[in-house]
Amino acid sequence: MASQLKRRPQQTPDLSTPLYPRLEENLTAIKQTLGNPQDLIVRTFSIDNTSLTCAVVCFDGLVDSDLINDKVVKHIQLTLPASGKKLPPPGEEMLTFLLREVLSTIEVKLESTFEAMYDRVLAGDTALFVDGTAQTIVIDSRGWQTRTIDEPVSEGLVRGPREGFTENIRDNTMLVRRRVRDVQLRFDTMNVGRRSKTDLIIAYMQDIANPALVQEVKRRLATIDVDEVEESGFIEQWIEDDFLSPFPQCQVTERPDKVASALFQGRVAILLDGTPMGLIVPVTFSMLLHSPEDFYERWIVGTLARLLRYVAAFLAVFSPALYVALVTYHPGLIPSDLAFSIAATREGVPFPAFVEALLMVATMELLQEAGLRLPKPIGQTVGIVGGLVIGESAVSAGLVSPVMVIVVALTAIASFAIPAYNLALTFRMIRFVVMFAAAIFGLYGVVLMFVAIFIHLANLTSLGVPYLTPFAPQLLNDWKDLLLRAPVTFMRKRPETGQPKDHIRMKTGDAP
Amino acid sequence: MIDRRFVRTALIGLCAFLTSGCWDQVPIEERGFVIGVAIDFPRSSAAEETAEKEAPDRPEGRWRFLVTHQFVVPGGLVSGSQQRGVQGSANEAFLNLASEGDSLLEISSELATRSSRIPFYQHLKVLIISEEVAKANHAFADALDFFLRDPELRRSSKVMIAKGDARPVLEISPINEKLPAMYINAVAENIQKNARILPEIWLGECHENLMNEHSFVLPRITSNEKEVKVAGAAVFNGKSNRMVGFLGEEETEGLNFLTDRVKGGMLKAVLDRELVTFNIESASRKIKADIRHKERMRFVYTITCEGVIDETFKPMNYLSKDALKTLQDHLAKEIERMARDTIRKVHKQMKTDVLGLGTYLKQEHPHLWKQLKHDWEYGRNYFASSEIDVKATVYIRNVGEINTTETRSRNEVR
Amino acid sequence: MNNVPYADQKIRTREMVIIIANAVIGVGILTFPRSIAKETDAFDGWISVLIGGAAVCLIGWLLGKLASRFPTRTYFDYVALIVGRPFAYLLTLLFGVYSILMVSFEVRAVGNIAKQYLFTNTPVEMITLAFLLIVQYAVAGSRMALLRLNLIFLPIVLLVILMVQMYTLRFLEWENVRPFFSSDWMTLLKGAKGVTLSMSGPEIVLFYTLLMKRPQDAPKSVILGLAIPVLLYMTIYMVIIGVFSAAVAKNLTFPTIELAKGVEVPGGFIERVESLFFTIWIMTIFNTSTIWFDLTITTLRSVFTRFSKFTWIRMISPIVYLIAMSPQNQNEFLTFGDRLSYFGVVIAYVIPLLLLAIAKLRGVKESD
Repeated sequence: MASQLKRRPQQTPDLSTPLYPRLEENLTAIKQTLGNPQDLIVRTFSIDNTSLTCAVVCFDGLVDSDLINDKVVKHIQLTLPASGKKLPPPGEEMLTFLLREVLSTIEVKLESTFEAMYDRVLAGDTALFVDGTAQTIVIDSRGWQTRTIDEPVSEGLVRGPREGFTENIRDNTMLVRRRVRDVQLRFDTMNVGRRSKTDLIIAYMQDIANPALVQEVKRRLATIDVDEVEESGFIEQWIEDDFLSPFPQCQVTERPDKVASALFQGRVAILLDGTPMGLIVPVTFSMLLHSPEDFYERWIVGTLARLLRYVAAFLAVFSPALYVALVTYHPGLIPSDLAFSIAATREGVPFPAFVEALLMVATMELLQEAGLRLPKPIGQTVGIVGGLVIGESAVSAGLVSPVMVIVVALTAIASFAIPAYNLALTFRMIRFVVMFAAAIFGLYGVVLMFVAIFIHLANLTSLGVPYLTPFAPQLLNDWKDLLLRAPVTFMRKRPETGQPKDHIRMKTGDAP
Repeated sequence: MIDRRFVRTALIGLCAFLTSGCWDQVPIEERGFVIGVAIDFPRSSAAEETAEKEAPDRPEGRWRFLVTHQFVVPGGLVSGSQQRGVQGSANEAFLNLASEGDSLLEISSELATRSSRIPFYQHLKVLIISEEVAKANHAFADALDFFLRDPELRRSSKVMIAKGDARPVLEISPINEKLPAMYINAVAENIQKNARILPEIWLGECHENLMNEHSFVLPRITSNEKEVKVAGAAVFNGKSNRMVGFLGEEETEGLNFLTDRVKGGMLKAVLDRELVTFNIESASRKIKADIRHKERMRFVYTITCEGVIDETFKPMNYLSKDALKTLQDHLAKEIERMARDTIRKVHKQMKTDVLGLGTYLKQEHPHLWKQLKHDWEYGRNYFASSEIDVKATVYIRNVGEINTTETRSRNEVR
Repeated sequence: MNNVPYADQKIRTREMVIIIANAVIGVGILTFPRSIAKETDAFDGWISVLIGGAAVCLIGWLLGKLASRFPTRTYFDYVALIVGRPFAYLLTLLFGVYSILMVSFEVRAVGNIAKQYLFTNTPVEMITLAFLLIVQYAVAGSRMALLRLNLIFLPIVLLVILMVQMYTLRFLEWENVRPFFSSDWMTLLKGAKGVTLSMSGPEIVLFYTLLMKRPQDAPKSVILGLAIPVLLYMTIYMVIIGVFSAAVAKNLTFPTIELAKGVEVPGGFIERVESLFFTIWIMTIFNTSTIWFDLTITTLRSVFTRFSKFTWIRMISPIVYLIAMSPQNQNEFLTFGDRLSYFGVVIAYVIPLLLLAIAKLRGVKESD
């Protein structure tokens, strides 16, 4: 790949060359390499009343201009002469002098190659050149506009913190660090994407997370070799165990509290600059159905909510299929009165139940997809009104039966109850497959599909951890947090799913 | 990791399913839900003669049945507003189709030639058999064979014997209900209010009764044009599985007392020429047997009954202990009277043990039962030569909201 | 894939119990009340169940003992250790044949019952084929996943069976139950024989012990694993006789399904529960079939080491299908089942017991 770079027609200078000692040469080279864009700021000025010139190079918009103006340029231009300090000779000593005594910013570093300097400047730092020195001081001055920390859009809760990640990785690490003030917290940084050079942070607790897990995560991330990484979804697809599976193998979240609890469970979080969606691995099926609110509310409420979600998961996948199966193959299973009234309402419907179901579910998918693209105020109304109106009209026109509309509505609502959006998407897909099976074999087909889905889940692993833990392998200790949510004082040990090193999280656990 | 080639082969195999069609798919609105079946012997031999002429060599069964199927017409159930696609919504929610033949299966498939919907028996609620069929030799069991053997059917359909013909029972047009069979089904379940209704007997129970050799009873149903009456019982002999006779309403009530089947109902008693009625809440019975001599066994039934006074024409002080005691005695005598009537009919006339004595012996004295099993109702007929007596006790728990309705002067002569 | 070394790859004792329970609960659960009722004609057939179950427990325990003498060896390996390689080839091959027949039997059973209770027009071939495909899918995955499926499905199956029993209890008539004890020992023993034959399954411990975390617990897990079906069979039998009476029960082809037919959930919410019951039952048959299929592959692979697992699956499936389709009607099928159980007694019980005796006599153990 690197050799291909060299063969490109436009001659870009080899970026690993060191900087030139002469300021003018540096600046020319910079302007040429970058194509002299308009947002590139090159501000030359002189130190004191000497003939020594320096220049700051930065990108407008990326940098916090106040910082540069106040802390850098002003200091060199005004404060330095006023302080009456003696200037060292130009060269490395000058830079060191500036670094130590003049600049009052916190993060500064010395760089000596173009490549390193470009990396930093393109990331939003400012490079300070001094004539006569083949080095540059790179000052951290990142201060672009970011979204304010807001409630996470896709994971709102009634009770719980309303902070969500933003696109700025520094904000995100801040949010996590505020919740984990432990010395064992590790943020290992990496760069992914050859050209996008996106910052990526692997977060874990040194003394809890299984080292083999961390090792494996790093190994997989290191194999990423593409030009750009826009979103964490890319990372997810690269590191997952089985890309053919419809089920997600990483947990995606915008919530720092979720990340923090995952870290304490011995799992690994991956944060990517440029996206608020962080990844957590490994994940199991049951974890995808858990919501942090289960923990923030009391245990009875948490348990009931959880059970409800399991039921919702079942309904989301199997309702239309069960309707098709029962109506077409086994009307004997339905109570007599209901059976007769379904038959009555289906009198004029031209389609068989399966086609009807397919139409309705497809229409609902269409509505959902369309609703995503509409602007916020219209989206909600159109979704609801559209659904109602279409349903009503379809029933009056005799195209579908009212029971079908109810079943489809139930399915849709059930899939909204799933906390993990990626899992809800999976269910939407599987729904169709199960419907096909129901249409061919009735209840038998539904059962076979049920079994087939479980076979798939049993074989699936997320970074080596079987997807159906703790159902199978049975880790009974983890069942305190599975279908039920045991009272807080009972949960003394960490879940064994991630095979953490440290097992105890609570001392004694006596109720107050 | 699943072998990709295997996945491909499996997928191709699965595609075969999609293209080959779904054999058993029947849209629900095309099913002919059969909710009631009535079995009779045919009245005219016209159909038989035609069949005879067409195919004189065909196999014949012992009996010919005339079977009426009651189909649900779902369109008639819904009261109008949703029906756009229905051509001329029918007023009737049901359709009776009658057909004749040797075997029930033959009749069922013959219906397919006349009805747009194939008979679907999974919602069968009532099965009504005429007394004639019940009395014929083995016809009852033959008639039920199809319903027991076909896996599609459930064992919980109610079986009843019709006084006279069975077909008119299904052909009633009840005023308040849309489906006659559902109406009949509901009536048969009202045993809480009336002790003259024999509790429902399911098809499965019938099978049990036919298999073992105890005599049994089935509820009786009568009908006029607009309604039915489920009261009374049909008595069957255990060995021949043929109907022996009917028990009237009061006799059925007595039977219910004797066989511990009373769940509710009422009793009347006359006290000083005035009527007092008693609402039964529960009843139970115990049997005591003296079996020292096989030829003259003595059985005594002790019936206990509890309830409240719900209606009375006799003004008196119901709150006094003596008054209540007298009342209880009178009511008890009433129970004994009814029970004795039943016993007389069943014991002496029909000589069929539907009182549960055989079962009692089997449970309590299995060795004795093993010995005289075959002589109980037949042979030496130890049942007929035994003595049965009844003792009843009634407990009045409550006399209701008021004491007397009106004041009457002492000297008033009615 | 599974290159993370810390992932869980061994079965725990508790899981083994469930696997064995699942393997034993199979087709027999639908028909055994009839065979016992035929012999004893009364309520006390539950004693037959107990006796039969105890016999199987004993045999299973001994089988477990044999397997746990060689905690890390495959069946082929340790048979070779005990009686030499040529015999090992023969015996393993025989076991392979037995497992193929077992798979065919189970698969056909599903097809038959599905055809009888769920479908009318769909041909048995298609139903069985669909089931076979799903079984193949399961076997093509990892072995551990296969065994884990047992853990998931058994609780569901048990729950449904218990629910069916609970709801039908109200139809229990005491006159069918009493007298309590009326049969003599000979009849009870005859009934027990039927039970023992219908409870095949513990022989799988011969093959799965090497996957256990604590192989020395194998015998114990067999006993516990068998206890579940035995208890289940006992209660089912009692309820069936109580509800139907022995006279009727010996007349019903599948008494357990008939029992499920009678369930009426209060409120009339669900009717025809037997379809539900049956679909749940499919799950446990599925587990049994996959275990036997897996054993087929394992045994045949030990003998013919050349082919890969997937080749074997592809080769064996058509054979299974053909064998499954060969009985022409219900009777032939039941005869097939009977003969198979006798064959199984020799292969799965007698021979391993002999092996155990020889191993003990010659002092052959793992360390050899």
